[in-house]
Amino acid sequence: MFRGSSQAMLMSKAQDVSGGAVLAHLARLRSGKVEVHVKAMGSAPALRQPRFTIDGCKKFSKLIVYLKEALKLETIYVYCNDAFEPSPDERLSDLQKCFGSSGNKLNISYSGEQAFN
Amino acid sequence: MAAEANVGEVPLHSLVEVQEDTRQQICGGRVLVRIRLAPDEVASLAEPDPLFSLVPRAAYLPFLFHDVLEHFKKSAIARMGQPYELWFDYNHTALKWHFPLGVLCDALVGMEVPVPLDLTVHFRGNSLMKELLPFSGMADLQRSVMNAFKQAIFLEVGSASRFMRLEKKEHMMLWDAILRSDIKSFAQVEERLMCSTLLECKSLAVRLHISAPVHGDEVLLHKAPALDESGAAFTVGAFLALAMPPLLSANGDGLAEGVEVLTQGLMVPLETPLYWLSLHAGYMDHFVHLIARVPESFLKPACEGDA
Repeated sequence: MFRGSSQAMLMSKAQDVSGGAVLAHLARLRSGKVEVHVKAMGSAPALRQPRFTIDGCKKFSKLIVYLKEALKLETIYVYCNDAFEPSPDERLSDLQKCFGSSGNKLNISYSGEQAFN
Repeated sequence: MAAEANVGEVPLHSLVEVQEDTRQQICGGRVLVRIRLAPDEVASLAEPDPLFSLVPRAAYLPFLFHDVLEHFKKSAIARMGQPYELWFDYNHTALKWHFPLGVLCDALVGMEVPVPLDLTVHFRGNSLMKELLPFSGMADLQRSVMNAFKQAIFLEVGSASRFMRLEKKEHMMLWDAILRSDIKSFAQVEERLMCSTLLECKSLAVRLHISAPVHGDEVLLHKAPALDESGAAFTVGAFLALAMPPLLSANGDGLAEGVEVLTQGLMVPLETPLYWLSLHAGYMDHFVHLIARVPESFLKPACEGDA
């Protein structure tokens, strides 16, 4: 389709399929920030700022890389709700909506060794 | 399909169609794959023979690595002491090792699976595989699958404590069943971790993959209620309306034009109860992987004018 459609038209037609409707819906679902609460386990060093926010559309890998760098750890195991390691390609907003607690909180813990088997 | 009015209260195991062996029928499928070594990685004069394998849909690609390595290592360019980086592509799409073959197959080819399905194996990295998660051995796969499994149980039960209380031998039984794509042994451990009724179930474990030609795929993890407000079974159609309305037609009573939804190589009718899929069509990470194949335009990044 080469016809130019105005933004107003796209907004009014949520079902419009010509403008990446799926991507647009995903962007809406994942808009806003996720409040990450981070806790160290075992002998892992603590973060100076254990609470911070990240864009919900970012992948979990972003958080892993951030923690690794901030804590200067070679290997790190990052858990959600003291229970499981999300896959690095999951989105923070998806995790927050499925596993988060009140508000837009997501509880994360990390360790230098494997935990919670 | 069970259609009891009190579907939320009956014991979950009574909803499983054991007699019909439905789960095995749905999840036990196999795909014949023909694997060739990437042409630019062939060191031998003659192109090596392809490797054929009949692979369970429930299996993960790294299960093939051993055979592939044995078959092709004589023909592949030597790595001078560096480890091989094994990965596959299908028509220049790098294949994710952390999803089962059935999921990849549904996303890439849908219902019409070519026989054989032609895969290309690579022994070293290139720009195509940058999107893949790093893989350094079977321990990575075990970690990934077991964590996905734990995550799925957490979604349903609201905690992973049942999983963590499993004995070591049960953990081993679970992984061993996954390695052999043995659905029956797997289900023996799995059933002990699940809710006892649908009413208790916090959310079903569903991953929605949205796949389009050229633009690849997007994966959405979204809560999936087992029951609606009236206590009736929540359907696939209701889930799509909740999680991804653009997949449905404007009046909401069918799929949008050009969209198909499948799992385990089967077209999924929108009125299918989600819990039924969870009990009979779940993969060995305990997730229902629903694949929506959509026209290219659905995943086309918005054009400049709309920004």
